[in-house]
Amino acid sequence: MTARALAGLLVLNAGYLVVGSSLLWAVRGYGSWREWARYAGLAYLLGIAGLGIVWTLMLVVGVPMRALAFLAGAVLLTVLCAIVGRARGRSRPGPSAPLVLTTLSLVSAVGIAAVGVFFEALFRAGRLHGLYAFDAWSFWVPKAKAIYAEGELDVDFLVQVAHPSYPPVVPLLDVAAFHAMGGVDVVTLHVQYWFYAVGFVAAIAGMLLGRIPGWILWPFVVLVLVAPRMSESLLVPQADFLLQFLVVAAVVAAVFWLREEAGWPLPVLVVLLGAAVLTKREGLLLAAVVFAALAVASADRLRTAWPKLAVAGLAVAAIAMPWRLWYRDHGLTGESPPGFLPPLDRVEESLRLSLDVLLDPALWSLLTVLGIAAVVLSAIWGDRRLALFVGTLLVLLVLGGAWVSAAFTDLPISADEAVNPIVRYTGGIALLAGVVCPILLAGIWAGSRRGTEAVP
Amino acid sequence: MCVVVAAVAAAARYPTALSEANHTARRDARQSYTDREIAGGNAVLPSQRSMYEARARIPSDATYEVAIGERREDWPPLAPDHTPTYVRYVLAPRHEAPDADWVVCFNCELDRYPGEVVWRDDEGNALVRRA
Repeated sequence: MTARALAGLLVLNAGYLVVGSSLLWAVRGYGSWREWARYAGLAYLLGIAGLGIVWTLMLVVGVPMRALAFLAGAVLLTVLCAIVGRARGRSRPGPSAPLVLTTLSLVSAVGIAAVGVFFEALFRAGRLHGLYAFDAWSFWVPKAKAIYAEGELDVDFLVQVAHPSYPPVVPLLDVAAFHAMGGVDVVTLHVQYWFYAVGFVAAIAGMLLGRIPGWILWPFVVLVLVAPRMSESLLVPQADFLLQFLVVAAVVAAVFWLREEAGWPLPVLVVLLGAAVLTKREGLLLAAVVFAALAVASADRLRTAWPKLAVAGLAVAAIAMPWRLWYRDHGLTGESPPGFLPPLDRVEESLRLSLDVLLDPALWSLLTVLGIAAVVLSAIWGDRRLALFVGTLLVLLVLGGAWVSAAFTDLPISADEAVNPIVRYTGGIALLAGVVCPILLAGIWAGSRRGTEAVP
Repeated sequence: MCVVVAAVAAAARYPTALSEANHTARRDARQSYTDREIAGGNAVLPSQRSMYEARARIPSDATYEVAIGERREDWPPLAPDHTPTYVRYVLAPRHEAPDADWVVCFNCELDRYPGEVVWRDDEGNALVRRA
């Protein structure tokens, strides 16, 4: 709760940006410094994702995770990216063309102002907020405190808290924040989650601005932020939103890859989904769903696209493995349901629950309804490949949520967040709907202006 | 049409979301340091003070156990079920263990936990260091 803690978090997050920028430079390169600024949000998310993966591997192989180890992991990853970038012939970003302010439309200016004012209010809300969320104090933060104090995950301690086999990215990122703040400050920790939200919005806006008209993009960006469940829970120090940020950013990268824009989206997708599978157990399900939807949407390019997807899928699986091997080796269980096929009597009820939650405007405003409408409209008048991808994604995600509720037989079929994760899970679908809507609608708009089908 | 609906929905919801964030900020700023730090524990713990005493007195490499006695009327309704979980959060990375070095007692029968009572209050909360 001190200025020193806030300054520490600022430095830490600048570090995430530096590491991620080097990662994105290695896989993509930057034409100019303005282009770097445009992709800074994506670079920030990649920094978190890349370091989440590296720190998890270090924890698993037994490196004592003290402050120096966190720093060493960051330096190692940055140097590695610099070497790869050099080897691939990446050059320094060149000078930017003069900025023409008229290119910023009035709608974009209003959108940026609205987002900025909201984030300012959210910062003040998080700055002095206590740790109220049950999952946060019952297991996420205790795990972080244990790693912070001992530099490792002590299995004897781990078995005393709930969900000992949950992946460790969030506790590790919390530990990095504790080191940056100078101690276990569970109040200022909320500001770290504010940075994640800012980074996510910057990533989405940066990736889509210039490809999508501002008047289509900004209403959805603002709606995503202020939808009831989003605005209330963005700063809760749990894994849900970070997982969703990673997966949704990966989906946008997947959209770019589907358009065969360049080779860089696929490595970006692998890093983001790799971190997602180490953030929460649902990450495995979400990553599988993204790859399945990509496979369906690129079925007509079977010989060229599917081998690349297979390699990317294997890479994500390889990233997921070490943590799973570690916890099984230490006799921990708990990530899997009792059986893959859920009891039939629970299936119908779970599916109904998933749909009820999905379409509840009290939770997501109109995000999910608009998402479904955009898929249908895009299938008729827009980019059909994209509509197929997003439609498959949404259907599989809803079915996945229903499967979770049905297969984990100890979960009551209920929308009560205290006993069933379906609302938190569906938050990811709503977030995704809000982000893909402008992409789909811009495709229809561009098509109507050119008189042909077009992509944004 | 979808964009117009999204814009209207965002505009309708924006003032409420902003007001909620402002309300949270004002409420949190008014809290005492203790209430802010204990936060979720205020709905769970029989005693804030006992947490500060336990954290200050129990060494980081010592073990502890939580002993909960008969529920008092002034306890939060969730106290009996969730106090051990909250104590685990506050005292992490200390390990919980049966026959531990320390006992964190909430209105428990102290006779059942022989040792040195290093702190106690008038509401039956105590810290016992076992011999």
